[in-house]
Amino acid sequence: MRARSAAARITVLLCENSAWKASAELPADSALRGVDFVKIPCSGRVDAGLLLSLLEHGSAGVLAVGCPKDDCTFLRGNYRAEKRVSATRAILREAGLDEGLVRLSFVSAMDAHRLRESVLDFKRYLDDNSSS
Amino acid sequence: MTGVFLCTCQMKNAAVWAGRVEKAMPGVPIFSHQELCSGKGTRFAAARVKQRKLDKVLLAGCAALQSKAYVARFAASAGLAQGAIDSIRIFPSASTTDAARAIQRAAAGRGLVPVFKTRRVALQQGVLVVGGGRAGWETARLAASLGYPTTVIRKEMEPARDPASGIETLPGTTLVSLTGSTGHFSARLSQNGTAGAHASVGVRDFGAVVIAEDDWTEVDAPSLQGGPLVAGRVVLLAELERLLEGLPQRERPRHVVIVLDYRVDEGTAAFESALRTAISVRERWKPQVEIALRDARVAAYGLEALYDRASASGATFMKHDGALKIHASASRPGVTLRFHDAALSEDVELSCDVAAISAAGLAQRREDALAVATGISQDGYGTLQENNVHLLPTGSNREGVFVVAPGYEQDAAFSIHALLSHGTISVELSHAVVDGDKCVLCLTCVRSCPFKAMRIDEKEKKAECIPESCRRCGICEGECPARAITLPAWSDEILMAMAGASR
Repeated sequence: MRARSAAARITVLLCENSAWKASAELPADSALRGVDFVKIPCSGRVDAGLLLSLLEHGSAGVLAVGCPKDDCTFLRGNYRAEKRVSATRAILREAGLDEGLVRLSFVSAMDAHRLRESVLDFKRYLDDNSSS
Repeated sequence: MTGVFLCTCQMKNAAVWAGRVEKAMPGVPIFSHQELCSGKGTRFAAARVKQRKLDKVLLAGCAALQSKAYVARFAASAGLAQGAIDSIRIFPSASTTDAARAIQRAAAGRGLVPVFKTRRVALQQGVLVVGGGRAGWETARLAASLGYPTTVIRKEMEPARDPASGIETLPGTTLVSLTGSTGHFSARLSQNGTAGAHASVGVRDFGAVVIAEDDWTEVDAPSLQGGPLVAGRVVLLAELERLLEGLPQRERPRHVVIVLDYRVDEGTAAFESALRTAISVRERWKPQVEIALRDARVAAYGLEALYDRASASGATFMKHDGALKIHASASRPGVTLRFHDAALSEDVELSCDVAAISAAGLAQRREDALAVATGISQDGYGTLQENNVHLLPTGSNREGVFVVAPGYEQDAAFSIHALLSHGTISVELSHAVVDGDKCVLCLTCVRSCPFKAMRIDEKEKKAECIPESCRRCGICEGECPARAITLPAWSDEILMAMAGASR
């Protein structure tokens, strides 16, 4: 895994049933430059292998965004995602890396502002912790 | 990586169209622009091509996009060869669905997106109804009237309610297990013998299963015990307007009470439907309308305004303390409600012509055994049907199994009809694929699939996905510890390409 440079990009995995729809409402915004939005079928699709290989291939950090807790289209996907993201964070911690490189948040399809907030918050965190 | 560009200059509902195309082609980047053929549009597209490192492009829009001159201009500005650009004409008269399908077919034909085969699956026509209460019986009656051979099983030993209806009734029977999937369920039934011993009735096949284990029945003769519903006196809220419509003007009630929070506290949805019904009933027939509730719930968009409109239309609100009693009988007119008024803090007796109960206020039974037998997920109170907005009102986590509460019988019957009426369904084979060499039969996928779409293939000694039950969510792929499962349209390679294309 290479250290985050100014050019390194952030990957945001968006559940296509909520966050992906919210991302369509995001205004063109220079603050979101350097962020790749990737559609996934459900936040339950993420696993340690995918998250780690995204980091390995040059992502500065990976943020997965799913539906609000009890509103998952696939009933259990976001609970599964929560479990797996925390497992991935444990792997990063054990490897002596920053566990904050991987994060999960929940927004609904109408919460474009909240999606923007959580992406910017994640970006800020990565910027603050990139020097190490 | 292939990208699809939509020109929306002629499409009225561009966002809907883009959404349909996205749904039809998962894993393909879709971009839309209002005027792709303009200089601005071409620059927009060229920037996207470079940013996402697209090597093939499909343009969809009006005839302007098909002209050789435009393709040449596009190729030059995006830095692609002209052969890498394809275009398809979409006529503005086409529906968004047709347009999306045309684009998907064009992309598939040119090898831009993976193409999945489809398989026709035959559907059994039989309907099994578990529970002989009001909801179960009413659903069975409707399903039978739509022409489906219907079987009702119930725990109680009472005989069939209506032997002439052609509905097979098995009293004293319980469902032991339910295997199979949409359109071909196998139900193992067990019957209470006369000696009290359980005798297996055996395994029967059904196309759809209805679970309606409520014990609320309608009293339609003075001798019958039941309740709390009484035909024509105490009805479900959903049926109030239909009841009033059917009555001649002279017999229409002058005083209607809508009861919310009858046994269980209800949410904003029930409150909203009570307000809408009250306004409509007031406006159409002008009876006196009272809404008895434990708590007014206005914490949702527009509910406060709706509450004001209901008040303005003349409906009045009364607060009960949750222990409201309804007294009515089929033999004499009138309904009496007794409750402690929380606002006046005194006991109130209210007489009216018709009382309407909201269905969500009828407590359902905790059904642990049935949940285990059928694999249907429960809500926090242990009643069947999970509290998830995507399932309401009658859906369940197993496609083809419906959970029906009183008041939703029609909805369930139409859902069954929509599922079974064609006799077959066409299933796209884009379901999860299991690599037999990697699968270690740990059952993680069987356990974690919310839709019961995974099973063990005994012959091949590996897990297997049932395409007609699979909802293509990828939970099993993420969960599999051996990484043996792939969802073809959303494989790691595709997601990595989507994420990595811009680097």
